[in-house]
Amino acid sequence: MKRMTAEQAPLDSTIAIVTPENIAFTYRVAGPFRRLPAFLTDMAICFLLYMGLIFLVSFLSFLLAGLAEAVLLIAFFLIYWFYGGLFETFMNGQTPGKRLMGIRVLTIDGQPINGLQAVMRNILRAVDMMPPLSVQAIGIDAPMYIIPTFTLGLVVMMATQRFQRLGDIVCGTMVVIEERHWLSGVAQLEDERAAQLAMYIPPDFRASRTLAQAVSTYVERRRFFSVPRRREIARHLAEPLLEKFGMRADTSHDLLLCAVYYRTFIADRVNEEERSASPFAVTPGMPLAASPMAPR
Amino acid sequence: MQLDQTQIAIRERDFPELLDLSLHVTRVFARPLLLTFALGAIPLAVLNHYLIAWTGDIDYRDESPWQYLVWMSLLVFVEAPLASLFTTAYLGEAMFHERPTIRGVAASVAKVWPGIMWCVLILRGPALAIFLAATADPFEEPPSVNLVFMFLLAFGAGVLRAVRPFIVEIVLLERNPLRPRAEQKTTIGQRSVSLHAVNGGDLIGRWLGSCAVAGALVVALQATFWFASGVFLNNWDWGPVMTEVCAPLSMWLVACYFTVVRFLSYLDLRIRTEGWEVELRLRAEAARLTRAPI
Repeated sequence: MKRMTAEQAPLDSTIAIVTPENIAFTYRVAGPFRRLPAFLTDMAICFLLYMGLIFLVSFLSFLLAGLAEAVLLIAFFLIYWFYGGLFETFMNGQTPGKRLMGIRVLTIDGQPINGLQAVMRNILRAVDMMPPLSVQAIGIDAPMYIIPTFTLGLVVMMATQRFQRLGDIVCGTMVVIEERHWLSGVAQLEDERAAQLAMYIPPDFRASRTLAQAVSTYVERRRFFSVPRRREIARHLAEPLLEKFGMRADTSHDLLLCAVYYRTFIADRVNEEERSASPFAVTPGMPLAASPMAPR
Repeated sequence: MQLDQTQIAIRERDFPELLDLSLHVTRVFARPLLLTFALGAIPLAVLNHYLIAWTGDIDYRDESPWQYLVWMSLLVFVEAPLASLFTTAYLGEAMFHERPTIRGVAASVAKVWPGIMWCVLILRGPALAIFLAATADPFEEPPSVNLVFMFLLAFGAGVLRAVRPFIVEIVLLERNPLRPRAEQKTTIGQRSVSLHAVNGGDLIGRWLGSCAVAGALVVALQATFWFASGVFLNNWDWGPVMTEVCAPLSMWLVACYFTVVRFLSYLDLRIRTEGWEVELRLRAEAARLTRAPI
């Protein structure tokens, strides 16, 4: 597996992975601030587990007698060190906190993690929490360095492209955001004049890929903008287009971009469908005499 | 300059993603960011120390330097937008693959000095904060009444920054005039209202989140300095160096990081509300069209 690199790729929190089968996946990696709520949720669950255990053990103390403290200490040890590892092993890279926040641990190749990786990366969190702050900072008069600052983890995450902490680097893992995509179809054009204006666009006009993308981005987003803002944005592209098409200068800029969109994504597609449906179809814009079906 | 080819991918992001991406941006542009931020912050840091040095002049065995730390925290909080001017100007230019020089950045800041003087130095409170620190009475008991005014000023500046966070970006990057010059030109005030007004609740929420993260980062950095001092210098006591060097340094470093966060949040707001990425794309396509036939 290899990581796709692009010399001039803009900075982003996404990472692309190409499998040996030459299939490319794009993941949005989760950085420290995306992971923090999940971590705090898991801490809260651990705290509730501790409280529940204390309640349970004190309730059963008459049965456990002198073993109560030992049971509690062992349970605390197991929860502290193996809560994350066990959940990530059996919930496919997720703890309850991660599932709630929609993030998941994967290997850097985009594969599910195994048990060893899950346990190790959670045990190594203790290193990422370094350096500790003494409880003297909160007024307790004893030099006990037990309050984590997470500075080491933060610096290491900042230094890596995939926001990996030390535990992740050692285990070859990363945390990604689970994407939920909604495929959007062709945008609805509420103004019928767009279709009418599209008929005035020269028949030999074919939008380039970048022009089609630009117009498509505009039409998909324009409903979120105010009318003056639409005018302001559309003017940039509409003015040179009006000049190219030889249209009147007072043509609505917004409407023109909608017409180009209609022509590129709707009218041409409808024509293509009709053409492919009919064996005697004539290419629009092509002179009849030049058509193979023209009468001789 | 290719308008649709930016150094940072232009798309909508939520607040945690902006904080994460700011770490990336800080790493990639670490040197120019630190340089440009130092240009704004060092004079202010020296001035602050000179003004409140009397509060740190204590016997560390008997007293705590709380007055110095409180004064310094409030001063840094109020002055952070002023210190971030050069960094913001740098980020604005570097966004489009340009390589801005320090001189160029300083010149672009100098061009809009009336807006900076009024909107950043006076309205946002740094001028008044420096005045309060300069006129505080070292011998007043209980602690200076100026400190109370300083708290009120910081609160006011905080509220203003919560509802109008991107004034530095408007002044420096959009270059709107302070007063209307031509009929068509939007003033700084009008632009600020049009950009901020429709997103008030969201902006306040993000600002509160920023404050919480900034506070945690300052404490973490401060603790790291303390730990490093203990490990490398075998000095585990909180002394004058920790108070007068490490504490302000932690605050300014976090302020530098939050300059990047604020810049990215500004871009994000423009993308969400004004379709900035759409405008860039259309302008780039228009430039291509005028260069080549369809």
